[in-house]
Amino acid sequence: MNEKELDLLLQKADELRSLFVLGQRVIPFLEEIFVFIKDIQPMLDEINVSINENLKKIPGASEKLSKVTEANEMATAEIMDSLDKVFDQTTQFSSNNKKLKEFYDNISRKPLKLLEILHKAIQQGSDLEEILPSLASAISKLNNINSNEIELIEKNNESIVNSINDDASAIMMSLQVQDISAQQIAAVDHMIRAVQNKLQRILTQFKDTDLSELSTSSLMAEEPNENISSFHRDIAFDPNAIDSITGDGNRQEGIDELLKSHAAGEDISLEPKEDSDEKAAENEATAPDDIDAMFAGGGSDEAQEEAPAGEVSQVDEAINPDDIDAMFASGGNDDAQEEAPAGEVSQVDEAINPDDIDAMFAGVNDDEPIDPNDIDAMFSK
Amino acid sequence: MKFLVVDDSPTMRRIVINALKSFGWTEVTQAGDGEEALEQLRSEMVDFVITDWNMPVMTGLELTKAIRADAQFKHLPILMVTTRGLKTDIIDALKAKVNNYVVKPFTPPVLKEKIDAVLGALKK
Repeated sequence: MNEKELDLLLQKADELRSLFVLGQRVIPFLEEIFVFIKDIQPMLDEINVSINENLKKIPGASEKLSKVTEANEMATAEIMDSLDKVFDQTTQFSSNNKKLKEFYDNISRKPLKLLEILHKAIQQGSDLEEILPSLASAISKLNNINSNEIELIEKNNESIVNSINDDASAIMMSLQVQDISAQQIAAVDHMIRAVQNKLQRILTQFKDTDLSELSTSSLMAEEPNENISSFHRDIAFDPNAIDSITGDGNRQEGIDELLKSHAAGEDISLEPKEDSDEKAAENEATAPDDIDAMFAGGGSDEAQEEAPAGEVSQVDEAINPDDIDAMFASGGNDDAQEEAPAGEVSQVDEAINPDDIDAMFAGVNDDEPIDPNDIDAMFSK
Repeated sequence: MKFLVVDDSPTMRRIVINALKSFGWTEVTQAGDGEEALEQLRSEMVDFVITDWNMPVMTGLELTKAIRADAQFKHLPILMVTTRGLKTDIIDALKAKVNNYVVKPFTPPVLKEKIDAVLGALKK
C-alpha cells in the first residue's frame, strides 16, 4: 500500500467517523419520532373508529327520512281520501238543499194559497160546503208529504253531516304525522350536526395545534346528549318517533297490557337488568301500531266499529231540524238565495197580514168565482 | 272539568284540544313545555293534565315528577300522550306516577277511553 492509497483510506475512515457522529445525533430524534408515532397510533385509531361510527349513522338517518316521507305520503293519501268523501257529501248535501227548496216552493206556499182562496170564497159568500171535500183532500196530501219526503231529506242531511264530521276528525288525526315527522327530522338534524361538529373539531385540531399537544380526550369529547334541535322553535324529539307510524303491530295494546299488569301488582321489572340480552328485550318497542288503523282515525269503518256508540255521537253533532229551518230561512245555498224573492221566505213564520196575502197573490183575480177544481188542480202534482 | 294540554307541538295541542271538545270538554288551557305548564297550574284551577313527553325546557316526565312532588297538585290526574313506546319508557312513566299512557298517533276513541279510565279509577 503506497502513501496515496493510505491517505485515501484515512479519508474514508474519517468520513465513516463523521457518519457515525451524525448517526449518534440523529438517532435520538428518530427515536422521538418513533415514540410520537407510537403515542399517536391509538388516537388515530380512535379517530378512525369515531369517523366510521359517525358515517354509519348516515344510512340510518337516510332510512329514517325515507320512512318520514313514506308516512307523510300515507297520511296525505288518507287526508285526500277523506276530502274526496267530503266533496261527494257536500255535493249530495247541495242536491238535498235544492230538493228542500223545490219542496218549499211546491208545497209550503200551497197552504197560504188555500187560505187566500178560502178568504176570497168567504168574501164572495160562496158555498163553502162545496169545497170542503177538496180542502180535506188537499190537507191530507200536505200531511203525507210532510211526514215522508221532508223526513227522508232531513235524515239524509243528518247522516251527511255526521259523515263529514267523521271525515274531518279523521283528517285531524292524520295530521299527527306532522308532529312525528318534525321529531324525526329534528333527530336527523341533531345527528348531522353532531357528526359535522366532531369532524370539524378533528380537522381544526390537526390544522392549528402542535401534534404533540393533541389528546384523545379532546378529540373524542361527546356532544351533549340532549334530544333537542333548534329550528324555527326548539323541537324536542324521540329519535325513534317514526317507528310509531311505520311499525307493524299495535303499540297501544302492548302498553295497555303492561299498565294492566302493573295495576294488578305484577312485577314488570321496574329495576333495570344487567343482562344485556334482557336489557335489549326490555328496550324493545311494544308492538308497533297498524298504520292503517292509525291513520283511519274516526273516519274508517273499523274505527267506527271500535268506537262505543256514545263516543261517536259525541264526536258527531246531530243536526237539528231547526237548523234546516234556519238554513232555509237565510236562503241556504247561493242558488236558493238567488231564486227566492226577497222577503218571501222570512214571511213564512210571521203572522199573515191580509195585505201581505193580497200582495203575494197579486196575480189572483178577486172577481173570479172560486172553483173547487182549482184546489184539486193545485194538489194534483 | 278543565284540561291542561301540554305539548311543544302546536299541531298536537290543536289535535288534542279538538278531540276533547268533540267529547264535550270545552274548558281547555294549554302550555308548550313543562315549566309553562307548572306556571299555568299555579295560576288557574285545572282538573286534568294531558302531557307530551319530549319537550324542551322541561319534559313531560319531569313535569309529572314535579306535580307529584307538590302537595297541592300531587293527586292531579295525568295522562301521558307520546311517541315513546319502549318498555323502559312505560316503566319510567309508571315510576313517575302517570295515571295512564297513550301512544301517538292515537285515535279519538282511544284518547276518550283512557281519560274515562283515569276518571273512573279516581271515582273508585
